[in-house]
Amino acid sequence: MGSKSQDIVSRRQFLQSGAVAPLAAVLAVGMISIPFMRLAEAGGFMLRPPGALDEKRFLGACVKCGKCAQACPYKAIKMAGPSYGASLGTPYIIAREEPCQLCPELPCAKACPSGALDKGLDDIEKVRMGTAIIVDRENCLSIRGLRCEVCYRNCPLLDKAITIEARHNERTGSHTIMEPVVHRDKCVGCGICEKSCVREQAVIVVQKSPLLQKDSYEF
Amino acid sequence: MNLNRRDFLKASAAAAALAAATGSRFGIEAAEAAEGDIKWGKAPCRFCGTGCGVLVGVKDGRIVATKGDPQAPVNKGLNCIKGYFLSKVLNGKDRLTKPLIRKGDKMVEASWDEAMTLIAAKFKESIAKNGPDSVAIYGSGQWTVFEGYAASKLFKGGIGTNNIEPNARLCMASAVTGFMTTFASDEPMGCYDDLDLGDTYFLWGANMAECHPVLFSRLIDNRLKNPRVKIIDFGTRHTRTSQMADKYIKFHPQTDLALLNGIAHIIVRDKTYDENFIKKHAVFKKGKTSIGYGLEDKFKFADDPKPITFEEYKEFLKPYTPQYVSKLSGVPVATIEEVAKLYADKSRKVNSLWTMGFNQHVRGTWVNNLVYNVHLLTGKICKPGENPLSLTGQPSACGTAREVGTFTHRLPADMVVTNPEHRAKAAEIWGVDVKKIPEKPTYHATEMFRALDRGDIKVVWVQVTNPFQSLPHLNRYRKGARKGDGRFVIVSDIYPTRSTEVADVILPSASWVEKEGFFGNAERRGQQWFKMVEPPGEARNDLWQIIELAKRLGYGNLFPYKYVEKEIFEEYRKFTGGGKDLAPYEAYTKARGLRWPYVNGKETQWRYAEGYDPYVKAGEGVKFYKNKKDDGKAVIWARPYEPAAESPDKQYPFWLCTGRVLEHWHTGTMTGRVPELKRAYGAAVCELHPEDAKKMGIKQGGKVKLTSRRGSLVLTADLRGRGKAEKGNVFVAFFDENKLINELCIDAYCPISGEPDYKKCAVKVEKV
Amino acid sequence: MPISGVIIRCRPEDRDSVAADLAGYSSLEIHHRLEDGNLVATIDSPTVNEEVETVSAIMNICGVVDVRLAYHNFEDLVPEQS
Repeated sequence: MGSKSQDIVSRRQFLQSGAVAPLAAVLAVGMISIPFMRLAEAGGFMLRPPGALDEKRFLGACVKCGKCAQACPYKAIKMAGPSYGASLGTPYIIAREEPCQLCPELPCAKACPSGALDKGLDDIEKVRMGTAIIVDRENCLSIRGLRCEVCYRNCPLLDKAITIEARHNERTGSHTIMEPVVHRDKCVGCGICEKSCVREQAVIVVQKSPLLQKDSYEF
Repeated sequence: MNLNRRDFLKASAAAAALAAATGSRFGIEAAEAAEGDIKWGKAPCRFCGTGCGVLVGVKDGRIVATKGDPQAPVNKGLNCIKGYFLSKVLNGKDRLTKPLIRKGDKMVEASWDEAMTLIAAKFKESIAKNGPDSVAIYGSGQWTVFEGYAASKLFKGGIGTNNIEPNARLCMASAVTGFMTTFASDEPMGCYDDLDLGDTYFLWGANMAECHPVLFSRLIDNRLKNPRVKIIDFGTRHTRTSQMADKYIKFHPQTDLALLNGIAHIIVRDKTYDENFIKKHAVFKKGKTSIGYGLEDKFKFADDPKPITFEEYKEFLKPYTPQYVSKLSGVPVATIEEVAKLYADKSRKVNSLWTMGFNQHVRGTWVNNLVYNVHLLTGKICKPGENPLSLTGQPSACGTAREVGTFTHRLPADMVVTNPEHRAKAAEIWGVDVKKIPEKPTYHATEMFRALDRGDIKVVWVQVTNPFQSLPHLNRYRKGARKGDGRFVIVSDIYPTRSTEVADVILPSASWVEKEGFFGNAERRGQQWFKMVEPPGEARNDLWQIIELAKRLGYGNLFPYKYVEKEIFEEYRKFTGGGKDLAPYEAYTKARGLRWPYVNGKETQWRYAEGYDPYVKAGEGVKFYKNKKDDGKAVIWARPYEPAAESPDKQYPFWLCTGRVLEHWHTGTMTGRVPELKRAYGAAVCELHPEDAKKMGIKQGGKVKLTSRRGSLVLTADLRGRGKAEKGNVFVAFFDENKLINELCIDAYCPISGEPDYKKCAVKVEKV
Repeated sequence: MPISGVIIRCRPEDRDSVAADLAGYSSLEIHHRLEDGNLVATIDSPTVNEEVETVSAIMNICGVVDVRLAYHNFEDLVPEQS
């Protein structure tokens, strides 16, 4: 990762707003490892607006007109600054700041003049921007047995893209661990879960959808 | 911090990071040792009635950490997301730290002396001019036991008015009247152990998954361990609870009355009741019918219970055939039959759990009676793992509001002002002239604010609650408070709220571990905690505030305590023998809560049950010993189905239901100060059925306007959310101070309990 | 003054160059260099703000993949006033 002077400000503001109110009292208690920060583009992945072609073709097709960003009623779509190299001027979303709210009419895709976003997309369940993944199980409150599951209840594809898997809490002997489980075949990658995560740093984040690796097993 | 300690901490930090990087446990001990001088104290959680234990870490006079208490039997170290952020609740940027007095449109900082002098003058003036019934205090199920007790003693025993009410009137009053009319003693026979021990659970109007998160986690764990366990959710809205239940049974609002009579009908028809149990432990009664809705000011109702026979009760049930009930409720006949069979199945340990769907109901008392009927008919009561259990919403709705008795009609420990013996006992313990305690109850919560609106009450002091957001038909009462003409509103709180907006004096309060406290949860568990940190600025304990007013009104002699909290508790304990026995204060300081009756150093898990409750003699099995007038038996009530106060019609075609979400609590004054919870659930939305939305052209995220006969509100439509409204219904959470949904709600109430129905009124829905 | 223990993740081949760049930060002290490219360090800053700025700056050093917090002590911080 090279220097990204353009982003330091927003990144710093982001950190300050989250981190100044002490890095969660709980962190002081003991042994918790937490990614200090995680941006949408971490690992080279940029969360694109719904209907985007795959990254290489998208970069070729996008005319950087900003119409999708204008069309977004939630101002979730931002335009990449000069530090983004080849991605300069392309639209992207920082889910933790403002995720895609999955408007049923998909006004952003409709506004795209170049085909970089698929105008024909008419069903939000078919959107594939990325896949939400719990990247930090140790810090997930639900997996630790607390009754959080905020990501699950906020999921626009509730009970489809995220479900709750209940299992016995061995430690207490009388409670349930209610683990949010993301289903990659349903998750659209909108990032609403990432935004809503109550931890200082989201433990569920949208990443590039992992490639489906096929085999002959049918279960 | 000295240099050595910094070096030590740094070594710990490096060790912890190394351990995290390499996945080893090496260094953890060092990190833990570095925290060694944090002092941990126990306290119950500040939010719902579950009563989870938490540990509060204090260092140098500040809370540096909180965590679930692993030793607490209720939650064993777990919390919900609200409890997780407990410490942040105290540290909002806009904490009230100085008394404020209204000067025109402005609230001006004042000293405590100025504020209390003004308040005392207003009380004196109003009492002299209009009598003691022109002043009132409105408290809460979040009052500590000491605060509630002191308020009751001052108002009933000192000032000489029964103008004291808690917000628990809005949430638990029907449960109370249900308990009193059926068992002649408030509070449940069962406890949370029933969640672990039973195998069949009926949830009625309770979204446990969100509103009692840790208890729900216990219930689901029971099912994980035991494949026989069945959870059946009766509701008018598909919730996260419904989602995890084995069966969700939707019914038309208000028809729970018919459904429960229908279940009893089938049990009687099939003779699956427990004849022996009924003979030994139950009597039958009927009361008045067509009892009204309390919509008119000064509405009065007195029931007229008449004994009936089992045969007459059977006659009463005759019309509630599965077919008739199905037609009313929309539940299929086969489902009603199946449910009745489950309830009566002798091989099953059956429990019923309910909350606001039952209690906030214009026939709330009746529907509580009806669920007890089913348990009494089948004898599935007072046994481990087999009980009806009323869940509560506030941390001390039970411990304070109900058990200390901070209602207009009540005195401590199940006693009432209308009973001369009870008044005499209270007067004796309080050391006041018995004539001081008025024998007539005055106003219950809704009527109290109606009286303020009319001007019959001039001075009202609100503590630890937010009525000007939480009352139904809110417009009327918000306006009423500001009508002038001698009206004077005092609000004690920790943050500015929709109630401090209408206040003439705002007093900054201490909260939770900023004071010594005592809460009682829904399973009769009393939990004590010590003061751990100082409140911010000049904020002061509500208990101190009450006693300060007492002194200034000349009743300082009623509070001659040195260790105020402990001495109040021991005084209160004098009221509580004979089945409501509390432990000595000392015992609570050590235990992780104790369930009363506490006799001979032992708590009680199951009341009225031989072998558990020390008041039940050997050989009695079960004894409802508190109901002396019915010879120690419980009452099975003939209570009919009657419609809601307001049902949808052409003009207002939708049912409006209100409630809670997991992330926020009550009116959001505390949880709204936690940025993480705001981010997780920011604003109230309107849940709408997708087909209803489609008909009106309303899309996900679009704006809708809800209008009732009392008010209107614009909200964002949610068609895909955590709760799924049934067709013809909408649901809105009430936590959001910017979306006062209670302006739309109707102030109709159960005539017996006085509890308003927040779950049913008629609205129209328009696309904006 | 907050003290943090952090893991600075780098590609193994960049580890030592990152470590050299980090030498410029007085509030940061490297305690371990691990085989897999991780650096274990502590940050000892006067305020959380400065701590966050230090971390932000580290994030932008060429070769740093991410910074993870493993330990955080802020016991002597005064509560926020603003």
